[in-house]
Amino acid sequence: MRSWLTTILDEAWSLFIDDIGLAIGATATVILTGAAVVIGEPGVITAPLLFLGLASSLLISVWRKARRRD
Amino acid sequence: MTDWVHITTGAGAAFLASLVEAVEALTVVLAVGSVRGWRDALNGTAAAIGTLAVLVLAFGPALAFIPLRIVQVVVGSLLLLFGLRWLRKAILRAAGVLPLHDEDAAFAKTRAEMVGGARRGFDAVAFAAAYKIVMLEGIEVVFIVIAVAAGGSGLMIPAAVGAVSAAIFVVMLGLIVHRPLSRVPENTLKLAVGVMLSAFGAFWVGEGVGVEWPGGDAALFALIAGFAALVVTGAPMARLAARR
Repeated sequence: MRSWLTTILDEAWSLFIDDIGLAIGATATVILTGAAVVIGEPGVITAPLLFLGLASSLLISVWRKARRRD
Repeated sequence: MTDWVHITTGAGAAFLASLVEAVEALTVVLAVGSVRGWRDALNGTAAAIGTLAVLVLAFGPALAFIPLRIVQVVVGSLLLLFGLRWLRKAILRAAGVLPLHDEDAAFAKTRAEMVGGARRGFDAVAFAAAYKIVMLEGIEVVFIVIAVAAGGSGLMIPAAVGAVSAAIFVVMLGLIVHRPLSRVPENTLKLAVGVMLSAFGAFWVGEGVGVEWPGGDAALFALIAGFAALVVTGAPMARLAARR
């Protein structure tokens, strides 16, 4: 019997299977935003940076998936 | 007289601050419950409330020393993970790249299973999503109660009463609005949930890594609008890409 933890991990992992680019893009965005905060960039820079990074990762992922369709 | 003013102000402040957190939790629990089923969404909510109660009883004021930023980054990342994946599927479905679910059949099946209590298996995603949101908001409510109680002696009970009243008020609100919500088509709901999970996830991850959101908590509305705008622009873009 599958444990609930296995199911959660499967769900999370399936994002990587669906499109590893989206997962890498989102992770890189979070790391980049954290780095920008550390070097003292204000919220008016870091907040749009976080959103635009996530948004572009998502749109690139959608574009790639749509192009791959048979 | 001064004591009563102090007590009612403390209870009122705890009520209003907790109300905001409880409404945030309710929004996600309602959305997850409508899409994934109420049983495990409510089980997740109950489990989170139980965990919080145990934590409060066991550690009490020591909870104030748990680094909230770590909780925000972990929970925010998980919400982002689910949210972006749902949003991606919703955009591809809206563009016709992925097939739409047969909403009527799926809704009828889900409702029949839920009415009869015959839904097989444990929906870990619904359970976890509800558990995480209620835990995170609940921890914030605990911090609010502790912060209000720190304002003067004898304020712990009024602050706790204010927070519990807010929770009861929001539960009643949920009972009223969950039925109208269940009439919304599943694909539309999934899209809305994807937008909300992504917005909340981005907000908390941002808070966790130290982003100072312009406008404070109001930035959440901008994030929701931003992710919704992505759906509007993403669907035609995916249609265009599929034709090329």
